[in-house]
Formats: sequence, structure tokens, C-alpha cells
Amino acid sequence: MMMQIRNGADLLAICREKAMPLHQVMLAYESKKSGKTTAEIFALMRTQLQVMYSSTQQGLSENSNLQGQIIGGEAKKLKQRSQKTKPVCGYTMARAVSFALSVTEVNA
Amino acid sequence: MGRIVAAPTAGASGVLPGVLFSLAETHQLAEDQLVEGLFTAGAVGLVIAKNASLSGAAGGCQAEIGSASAMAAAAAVELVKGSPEQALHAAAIALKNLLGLVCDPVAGLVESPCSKRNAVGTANALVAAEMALAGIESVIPFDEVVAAMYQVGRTLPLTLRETAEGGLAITPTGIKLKKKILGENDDQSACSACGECSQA
Repeated sequence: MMMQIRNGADLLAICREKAMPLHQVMLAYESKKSGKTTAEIFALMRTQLQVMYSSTQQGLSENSNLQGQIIGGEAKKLKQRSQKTKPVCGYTMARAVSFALSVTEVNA
Repeated sequence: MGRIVAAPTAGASGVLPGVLFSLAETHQLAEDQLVEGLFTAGAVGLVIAKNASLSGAAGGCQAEIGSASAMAAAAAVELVKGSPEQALHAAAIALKNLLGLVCDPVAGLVESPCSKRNAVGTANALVAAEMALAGIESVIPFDEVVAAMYQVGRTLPLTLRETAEGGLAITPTGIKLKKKILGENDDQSACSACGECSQA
């Protein structure tokens, strides 16, 4: 597969030519670039996803005590509010933001 | 400090997981689909890295949260079976909305305002994805938005590129927090205190 990805236009050209979504093109690109099989690359990415998942949960658990120098405890506040009342920004958004805050607290 | 996945950077690491795992709940997505979402995001990140920058020191927060939001917006589109074209429109819209965002961390720490900018990058990604999925196109194509982000980053003054010498970092409260954390006599800028460049 021709795999020159210089820009978004290249990506879309490959997607059209191969009738593939972006994620398949990227998987093939990584496989070709690294010499690993697509299964190996996919497995590596799965471990990344699992680390991500864990970091979205650590700040949300009842007994979490994530405290940076400045931030800490915000993810839990957002979760608690969305459990008690209807979020003004919608449930999907409130959940997404609580996960994002949790990750930043883990990183702090 | 716990373990996170820099996506694309540690400072912007909340955006992509925020988007993926909330959609996993609302749209009942399997783990394999979420992994696919990471590849979609990676494709967008690759193009931004090649044509602009992913670093706050080089391009300001737009290069970190802006890029993360663009990556997450594209992933969100493909997760719900939107087309590659829609995914890049979503990425373009998300990046456009955060164009010009400066990097001004209080006390040089990746905490304030970084944490809340991760929140807004997450929300922005979902909004951009929803628009693209509805068939709304970015007026400026993705590649041109990336080029614009690079140009804007180059014209940002150094004080607004992760040096903690401008913006929120030098507000009265920002300075008070810095003194409290780093000590009263610490007059080093976060940039010189960090020293990461000299180690590299």
C-alpha cells in the first residue's frame, strides 16, 4: 500500500482509494513503519487504552485523594453533581469532562 | 504523579480519554472500537506533528489542547461511523476553535489552567464532532487550519509559550501561588527551573 502521509489530503486520498476509515489506514501505516504485524500494533494500542481508562477512574472513586500542588478533587465534584442533578451541559459532556479532569489530577 | 498516556502530550492527556470513555457509555462501544478510535486520533496527531507542532513551548496551548481536541473530535466521528471526510472536518473545527490559545501555566506546573483547558478541549471535541456528523463542514480545510496553527504559534511571544512568564502565570494570584509553591525567594522562571531542554 502506498503510504505517504504528509497531510490530511494524503490521508483522505488513501481512505478513498482503499475504501478504508482513518483508523485502518493509520494501523496499516504503523505496521509498515514499525515492521510489526497489525495484530501486534493493535495489542500495543490496547494497553495504551487501558492505562487511559485507569487514569479516568482514579479521580472519580469515592476514596480517591488525588492532590497536586494546586488542583485536586475536581473530577469527583463534577461526578457527584451529575449523580444528584441534571447537568446543564448534558450527561455525555459532564461525564467526558469528569474523566478528563481525573486524568489531569493523576498527571499533577 | 500517576500514570497517564500522553495524547499527544501529558499536559493535554485528559481530552482523548474523556471523549472516548464517555462515548463508550452513551453509545455502548466495545473496547476494540475504542482502540480504533485511538488510531483515528493518531492519524490526526501525525499530520499535526508533521506540519505544525504538538508542544506548548513551541506553539502554545493550541498545539497541545488544540491538537488533542482535534484528535479526539476525529476519533468521536469515526467511533459512530462518520466518514473520514467528516472526521477531518471535525478535527479542523476543533482546532480552529482553540486557535491562539496561549500556554501560561501557574508556577510552571501542569495544573492551572491546564486541567480546565483539558475539560474545555474535551467539550470542544464533542461539539466539533456533532457538527461534522450533522454534515457541517469546516470552511477552512483541515490542512490549512494546521498551517494556520503553526503560523500563530510562531508569532506567539515566548512569554506565552510555557515559560510561565505571561498570561495567567503572572496575575497577582498566579504569582502568589508560585511563591507559595516554589518559595518566597524563587525568582527563577519556570523555564529555567525546568531545565528539560538542556538535558535533551
